[in-house]
Amino acid sequence: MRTEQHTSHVKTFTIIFGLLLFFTFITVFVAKYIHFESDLLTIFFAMLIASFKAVLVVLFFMHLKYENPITWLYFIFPVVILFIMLGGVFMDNPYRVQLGDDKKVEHSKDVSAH
Amino acid sequence: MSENIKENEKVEAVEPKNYLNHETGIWSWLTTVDHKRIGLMYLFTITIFFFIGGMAALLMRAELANAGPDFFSPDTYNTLFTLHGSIMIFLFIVPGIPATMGNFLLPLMIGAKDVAFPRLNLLSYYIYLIGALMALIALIKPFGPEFMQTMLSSLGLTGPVDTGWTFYAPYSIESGTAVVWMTGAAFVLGFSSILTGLNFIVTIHKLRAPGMTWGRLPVFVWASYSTAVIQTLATPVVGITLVLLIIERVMGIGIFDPSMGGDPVLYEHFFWFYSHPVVYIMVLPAFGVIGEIIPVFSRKPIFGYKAICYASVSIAAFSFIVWAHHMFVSGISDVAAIVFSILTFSVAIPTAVKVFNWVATMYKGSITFETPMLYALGFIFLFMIAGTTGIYLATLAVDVFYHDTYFVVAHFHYTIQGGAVIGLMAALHFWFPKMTGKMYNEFIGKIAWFFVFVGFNLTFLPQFVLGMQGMPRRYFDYPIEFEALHMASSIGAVVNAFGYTFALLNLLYYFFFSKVKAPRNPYESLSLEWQTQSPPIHENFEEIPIVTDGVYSYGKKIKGDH
Amino acid sequence: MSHTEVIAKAGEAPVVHHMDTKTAYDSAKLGIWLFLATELLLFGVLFTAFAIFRWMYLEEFTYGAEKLNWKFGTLNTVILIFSSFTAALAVDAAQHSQNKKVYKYFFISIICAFMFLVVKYIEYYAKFDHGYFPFNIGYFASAVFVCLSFAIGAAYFGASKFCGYSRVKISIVSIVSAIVLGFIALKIFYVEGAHDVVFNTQEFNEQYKIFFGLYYCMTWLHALHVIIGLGLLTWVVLLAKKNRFSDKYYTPVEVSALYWHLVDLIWIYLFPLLYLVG
Repeated sequence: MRTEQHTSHVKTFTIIFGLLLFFTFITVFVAKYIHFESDLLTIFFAMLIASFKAVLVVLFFMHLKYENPITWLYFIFPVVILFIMLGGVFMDNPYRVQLGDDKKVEHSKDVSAH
Repeated sequence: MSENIKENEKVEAVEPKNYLNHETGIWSWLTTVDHKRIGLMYLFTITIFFFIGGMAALLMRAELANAGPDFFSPDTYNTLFTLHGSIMIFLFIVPGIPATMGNFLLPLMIGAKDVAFPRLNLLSYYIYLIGALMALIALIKPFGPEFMQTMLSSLGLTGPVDTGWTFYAPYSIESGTAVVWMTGAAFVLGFSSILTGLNFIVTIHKLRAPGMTWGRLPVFVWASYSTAVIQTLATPVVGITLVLLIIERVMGIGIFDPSMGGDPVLYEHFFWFYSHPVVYIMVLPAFGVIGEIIPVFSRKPIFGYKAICYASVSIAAFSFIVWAHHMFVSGISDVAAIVFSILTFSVAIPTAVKVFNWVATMYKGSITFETPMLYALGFIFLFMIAGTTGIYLATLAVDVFYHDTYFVVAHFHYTIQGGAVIGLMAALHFWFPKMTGKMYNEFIGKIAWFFVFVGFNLTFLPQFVLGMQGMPRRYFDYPIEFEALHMASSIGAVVNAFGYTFALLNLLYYFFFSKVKAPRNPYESLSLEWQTQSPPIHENFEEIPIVTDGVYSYGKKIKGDH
Repeated sequence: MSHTEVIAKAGEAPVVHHMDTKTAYDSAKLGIWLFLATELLLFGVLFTAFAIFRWMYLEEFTYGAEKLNWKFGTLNTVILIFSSFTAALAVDAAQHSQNKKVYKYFFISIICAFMFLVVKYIEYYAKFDHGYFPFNIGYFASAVFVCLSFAIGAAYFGASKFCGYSRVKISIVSIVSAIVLGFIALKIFYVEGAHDVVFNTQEFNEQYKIFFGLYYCMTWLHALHVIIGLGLLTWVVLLAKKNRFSDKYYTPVEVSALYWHLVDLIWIYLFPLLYLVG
């Protein structure tokens, strides 16, 4: 165990907490009042802001900033694996060729669209 | 080297203290946190399931020996291959070498007294037992009086599963059998695997003896580490996938059901995302075992130690990016198929590096052919066949023809049985004196190996040909022109079964009934686990050793420790 | 059998036969981070499923998301972030041997967790009323309460090992609370009309089932982790009450706080994805 004096992180935590509340407010505000041209942009910005919050929680609340490289590895590697999973699935479904694909088919409530 | 039997003295009335007689009584075993005892308990349990799964296989081969229906209905046959697959995979070979030999050896090899979380280790074993129990319960078909049948049915016990061990949607959603129980069992077993993997990763990182740097670890430890990483990170994926399948089956939300707009191929993506890495969980520890045995029986340091270690870790990493090669004909896009085919070719490279290094280790070595070495050599031969036939299957155009034929069946039996199971047999024979303090009968060991080796090849070589001729897998019957090869395969299965039984009886008999004490280090290995007494004491080491050298210095020093 | 049978003294790390104190602490830290990695992958699969189906059925997902109550979602986000904040403060307090503060902060986190579950339940019940619930709410409610009782029982049991809470008393409390909670669960299970829920097929076609199904799966799995976290927090609170921790030993506080932060982390992604973007 650490025998040296622990520094107090209360001030840091309070600042981070404030930032998290701020970003939450931004998340809702952007979602409700700002409309992006494409759906992809909406997702991108939503995830971006969420990632800001996540990074704050992980680095400071969870103390990852001060942990050793192995801990970093076992946090980052699973995230990489998840991106690989997403990548694999999105390499598949969007590029499948269906019967009648040469006719322009738009997203609709109709099941047979896909 | 093995002719020093004259040195063995009979066991006196008072045995030296070791982990086996440290505490006695069944309660001391059921509540043990000693990794060696837990390893042994796993070993006995998985052996039982090996034989149950093996029985299912023999029944299948009995049916398939002749064309035309013989003993079973098609539905029963479906149940048999599902059982064979599920039991062999989830209950036998996935715990396999890590839970048994890994548990026993890891702390000894790194100079620790136990794993990082001993109680978690025991919990892993009990979770395994619960999962195993659920799998057995899933076999129950409604029977008896009316009220009992209704009760069993309402509990979901509607008969043994017939979906195949892969539980593909949409059939697994519709099947009237006990899918929820079986997938629930697999889910529970997954937790056992995760916790074991977690335990091993922390153990290897934190509990190495002073001086035991990463560069001095035996290759078995590197292999176990890579395996543990896969166990910990891949298994949650199948866990949640099976939960989703259960939810889909019970509540019908539609994610895997095409009639509701769902995507059954998505189930396959998630399922194989785990089930490809799981085959590396099965075989990587076997690579490690072979890497321990070959230097000892060639009296030469292992060739390319660093390359083998890097290869182990890269196999673990690569294993996560190739899963869709199980889905080439399931309807995935061409883009995905091409990408995954290329990636699958690349995963062969680190494996090939290892095979090359083992062979190079033997070159100009002083080779002896004790039973462990026979299994190790058999492994190299069988895994070469396995690996190269894998390349056939990775080739897209070829796979379109071979998928779901007996070619695939032969390929994966060569990898899993010819690889992982042979590796387990090699490990059992090699470390038998360490674990038990006794010695098995070498002659019987060799005879048994011969039956295993011949029987295995007789069973599965014809299946490659059958596959090339177009015989589909999971089929209960077939046209008459396939009969000769099927008959050969079935005969091989019997020989194979006999070999395993003979080998295990050899080990069991000498474990329980031999009164002759084996030498402490009969194969003169240099790694840490052999420097303690056999069997090891409860705490593994009197004092934690300080390591000053790597473990493969064969030929550099003469260890005259007969 | 157990190498930690010695009831450790308050403020000191338990004696473990095969590791020194520092190694035990480092191992616990690495262990919990590895466990969090498995949780990431667990939820990752659901996120992937959500992503691909959203791509497939964009309209159903965006329209369906409008049916979710974003105000409740925001409230829950704020609650969880606050509870995460207090959990971090608790770890800091433990590092300074301030057991009373550990108790106070984790207790606040526990209250927040309960509030989260209550808000969630209100949300679910409202949907059940509108027929957005494709299956029986009774299952969920029962599951929640059963899990709660297990979590709290396990927490008490864990605490009793180290701090001399009477084993007999603890067992009685756990069993009684399990029975009470189970009873409430069954009551809800058989709530009138619960079995007659029919998916609102006038407003929604089959693909909405996928959206709502995934919504419920993801939030229910998350709620389950909130409950498990509750158990861990309770365990620590019970230990803190007996002044178990000091700057030399605060491993349970840190481990539980890390788990709790993960619960918050997952919700940080769940909230915009389900409620806002749809």
